Amino acid sequence: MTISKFFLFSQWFFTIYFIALHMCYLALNAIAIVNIRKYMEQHSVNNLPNIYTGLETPISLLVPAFNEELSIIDSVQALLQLNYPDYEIIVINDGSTDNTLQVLIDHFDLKVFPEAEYSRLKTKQIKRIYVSKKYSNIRVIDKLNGGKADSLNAGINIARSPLFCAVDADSILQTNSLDRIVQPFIEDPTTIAAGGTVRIANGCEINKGFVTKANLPHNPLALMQVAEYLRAFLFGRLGWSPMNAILIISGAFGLFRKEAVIHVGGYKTDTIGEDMELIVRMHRIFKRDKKPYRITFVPDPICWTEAPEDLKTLKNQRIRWQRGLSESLMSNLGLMFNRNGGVVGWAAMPYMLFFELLGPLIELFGIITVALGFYFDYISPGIALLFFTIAFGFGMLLSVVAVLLEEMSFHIYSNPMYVVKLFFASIIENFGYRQLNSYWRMIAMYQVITKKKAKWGNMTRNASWQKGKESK
Amino acid sequence: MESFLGYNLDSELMLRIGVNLMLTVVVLTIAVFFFVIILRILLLYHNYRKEQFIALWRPTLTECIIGIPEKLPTLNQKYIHDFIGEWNSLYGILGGISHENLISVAIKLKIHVAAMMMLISNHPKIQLTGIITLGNMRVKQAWPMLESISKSEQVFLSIAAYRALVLIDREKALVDLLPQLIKRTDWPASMVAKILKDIDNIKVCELLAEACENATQDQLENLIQYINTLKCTCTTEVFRKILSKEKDDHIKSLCLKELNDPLAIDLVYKHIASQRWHVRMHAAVALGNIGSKKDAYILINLLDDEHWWVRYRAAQSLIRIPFMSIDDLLEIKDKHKKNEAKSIIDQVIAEKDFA
Repeated sequence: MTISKFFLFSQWFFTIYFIALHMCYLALNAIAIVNIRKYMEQHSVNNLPNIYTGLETPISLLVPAFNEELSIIDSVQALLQLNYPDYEIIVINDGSTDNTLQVLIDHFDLKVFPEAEYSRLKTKQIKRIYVSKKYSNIRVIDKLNGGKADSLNAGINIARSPLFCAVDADSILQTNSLDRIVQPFIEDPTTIAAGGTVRIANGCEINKGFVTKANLPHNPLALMQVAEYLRAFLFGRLGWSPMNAILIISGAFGLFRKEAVIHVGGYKTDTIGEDMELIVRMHRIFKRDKKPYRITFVPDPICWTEAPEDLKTLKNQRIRWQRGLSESLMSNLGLMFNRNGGVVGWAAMPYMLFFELLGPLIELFGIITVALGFYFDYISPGIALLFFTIAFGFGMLLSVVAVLLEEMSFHIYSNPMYVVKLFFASIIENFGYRQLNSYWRMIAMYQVITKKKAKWGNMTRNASWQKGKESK
Repeated sequence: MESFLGYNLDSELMLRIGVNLMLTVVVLTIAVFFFVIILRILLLYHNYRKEQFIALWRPTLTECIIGIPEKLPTLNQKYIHDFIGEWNSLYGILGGISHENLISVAIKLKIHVAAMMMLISNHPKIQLTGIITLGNMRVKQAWPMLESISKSEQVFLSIAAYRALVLIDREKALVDLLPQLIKRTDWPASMVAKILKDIDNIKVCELLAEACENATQDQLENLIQYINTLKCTCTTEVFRKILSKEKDDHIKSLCLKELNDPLAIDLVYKHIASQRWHVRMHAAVALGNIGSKKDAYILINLLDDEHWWVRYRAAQSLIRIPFMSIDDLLEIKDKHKKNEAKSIIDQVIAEKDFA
């Protein structure tokens, strides 16, 4: 193949790829807009006075904790204040090497409890189970280190409620989050999993473990992530949800039917993206067994989480996510283009594979190739302009539509200047930030191909953005 | 570079397309920006108007806690939706005589007329607000319209209309509309239970018990849940009948769940040997409620059941049986050969200590 033929092929391949990508985004966007309007209208019934009847399904909150001695008390205290009539909190101390267990014992007056063994999912050895003498709905599992998935499996084993909610110890739930996220389970008994929205807590005002005022972070990296999360949750999840084709429920906040998770074998402990892998596996197994099921997304219960503010931590996080995506897709590849695969097998999985998994590789390669082709005069200015408009311009347009969607629905940020700031962040993140992400995701792909051992890396969560903000 | 797959690619044409596309994207982005700004301005205006309205009306409406305000400010038509929103939220917070005072104020201001108009809106949110308002105001004239909405297929609107009808005339709603409530298996059970709890009437239990006779499987499931939620005491005979005839294990579990009827003890004995673990579990719970010390051996046999929940509930029931002491339990534990039984007894004894 001559160089000119290579560039000729490349220019069209990449242009068509980007057109297809943005057509998918556009379609998801359109579905999300219709869906969010419908949701807002339907759920204005929440105006009815909230009287609890006793028919509400009990929920077990599972909080895996590894070296969280600084934040675990505040997290559990905040969880104790949630508005829901029947829930228990199970903290799983995953072999912490700091004083996580001791601070829990001291603060909640924990006593060793002879819980009878009920191991339906295999986990690392449980050393002890504690029960709080202060709060009857708090239990703590002390176990050998086995990772987050293993901790969640241990929590599922001793959970007493038919629904469980996986919550990160460093995340903040809104007081009405459980009330809202449980709705799909009430409205449709075939619901087996529901995810809520995750937002960036950096910059927000926190009072007694709750976000009292949503602000935007000053840190530019965190600000880009706010725009990115908006796009991912408001139209990524909302777009797939009506088609029952959601492939990700964030590990930071999701509600699951316990028996359904046990039916599929619980969380997989040898994968780095256990949250996504579980959802894809649930789709695969429920489809295989021809069991009716629903996996859905509820936009208004919000979970606030801390975003990385430095490049190293962000890089680790993104590499981990990409590897998780790769493992989830590869270990459930049988679902893709399966006769019974439905929208998940025929649309969501191919989308994830071609646009999310292979996307970074194609995007970066495309940008470099077209730029080089243009520079060496193999690609005409018209084609180059067309390509870059599609590659960057459409991305920018879609990002700002996410801001519009937010403005049409929840108006989380009350300060008008924040909306303007967010709007511009949505534009700027397309130039540099997204490409950097693509680069990190390519590194992740390289690691997958070379079978480099996955590691969590150090997630720097010092909540520095929070210092001085905590209201008294 | 001149052709691709036989198509002639005029570079200038491509450039033109590229420029136009870029301009379109830029224009659309700017349009979205202005749209966002307009939405925010509207929101700010709405909030400003609401603040003004609240400053004027909240003190007046708050007076309703102690009586009917003598002088009412003029209600500007542009504030009517704000007023209805504020009135409904205050109605939800307050209770007793305040409700009567709030209704008097709303009638003076002819809010029911506006609320009736809201029912014919195409916007479900406005319709819903109208329904809630008419129910809270107990507007009898709205009955036919609300009844028709309560029969519609839209789940949220129909259930809200049903609740409004109950508020307007609970006796009539009970007699005329209970069959409909039973048939609506699409209504979330917890919402229906809320409405039934609001009615708080012995007659509800009687009607629900009657309805069990001819109910379909889905309806029966919901009916038993409602009966359990309302803690009806007049349904024991119906439950006995269901337990002796019913074949569906889920329905049987629901009947056993809150069973507190000593006359049903033979039925409990029968179900404690069920093949299904959840039937055994609920039978064990029922035995804890109505059994005596002579029934302990049945529960002891369940302590090494293959299912954890059956073992756990059996152990809990053992503790609840009259005249069963901790020493008795420790003796049972010592005599039992299975570790599962020993550990579950340890657990329930510890739970009792903690309690």
